[in-house]
Amino acid sequence: MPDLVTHAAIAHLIRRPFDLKKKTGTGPSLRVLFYLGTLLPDLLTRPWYILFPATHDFTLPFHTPAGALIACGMIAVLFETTLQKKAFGLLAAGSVLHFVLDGFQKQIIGNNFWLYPFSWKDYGYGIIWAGEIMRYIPCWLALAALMEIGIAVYYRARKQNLRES
Amino acid sequence: MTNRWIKFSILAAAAAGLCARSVLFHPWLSLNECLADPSAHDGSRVTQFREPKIGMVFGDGFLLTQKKGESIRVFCDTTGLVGGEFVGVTAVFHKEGYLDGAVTQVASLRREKMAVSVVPAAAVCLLFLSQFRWNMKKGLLEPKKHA
Repeated sequence: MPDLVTHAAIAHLIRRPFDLKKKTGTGPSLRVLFYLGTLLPDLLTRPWYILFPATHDFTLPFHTPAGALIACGMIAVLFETTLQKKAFGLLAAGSVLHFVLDGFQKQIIGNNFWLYPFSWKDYGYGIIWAGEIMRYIPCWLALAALMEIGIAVYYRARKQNLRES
Repeated sequence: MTNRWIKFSILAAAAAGLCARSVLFHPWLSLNECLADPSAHDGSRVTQFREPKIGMVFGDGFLLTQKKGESIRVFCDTTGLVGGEFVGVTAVFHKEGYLDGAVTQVASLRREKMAVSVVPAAAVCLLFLSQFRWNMKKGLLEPKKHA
């Protein structure tokens, strides 16, 4: 898996531009669910088997699309009824992005069991080792910062235009 | 029991089923299984270790150490291996208690990866808690008033 900074930063780069539809560039939003979804497969597995290696086989399904979608569903049903579909959609989209990004990573025995529980075949495209992905963290963070600046400038200009008109 | 909790229970049961299938039918052979019954696994390829690390590096291999597991001698090409680093390994087990034919990949920067990953995990959790709250009366998550 890429590290969670990479996952979160790329999720932010993809999701944040959608906020341009809103009247203001700041303020709370449901996009946190997209970020949570993109971290969820790792949050439900890594801490447990790093601390307790014997739990690896038990937690592994949550790092598969089937397991992650079920986990997204479990979280989504805890929301009020009007938000459930949207919450599930955002969490699931984040999880899908997680698996797409994980596919880039090279593994010795594989970790992209996209068809589990029907198959243990690894579907990763194995392009880059995890340690190498780490070196790009400053790039993702710089891009995210640039985008935030761009969005702030956009809203300032829009506000000014509204005042003038 | 409300409709919400019925759905939650069904999903939890499905998750438990996936976990059970993984535990019972996964295709990997672990080092601990091999060491528990060496004769039965002689010549088998081991693919599962518990957080394996490189211990001492020798001219003809290295000592593989595990978190909460036994260590074992691995015979392989030691090019690029660094003591103390995490390592990805698959290797053939021998009942005498060693591994050979190993394919290894040093997991460089793994500690750093774990350390930096704590930050976004904590940030997203805090962001989530700042946006939603648990309504004890209704038994559901709802956006905070400002959301």
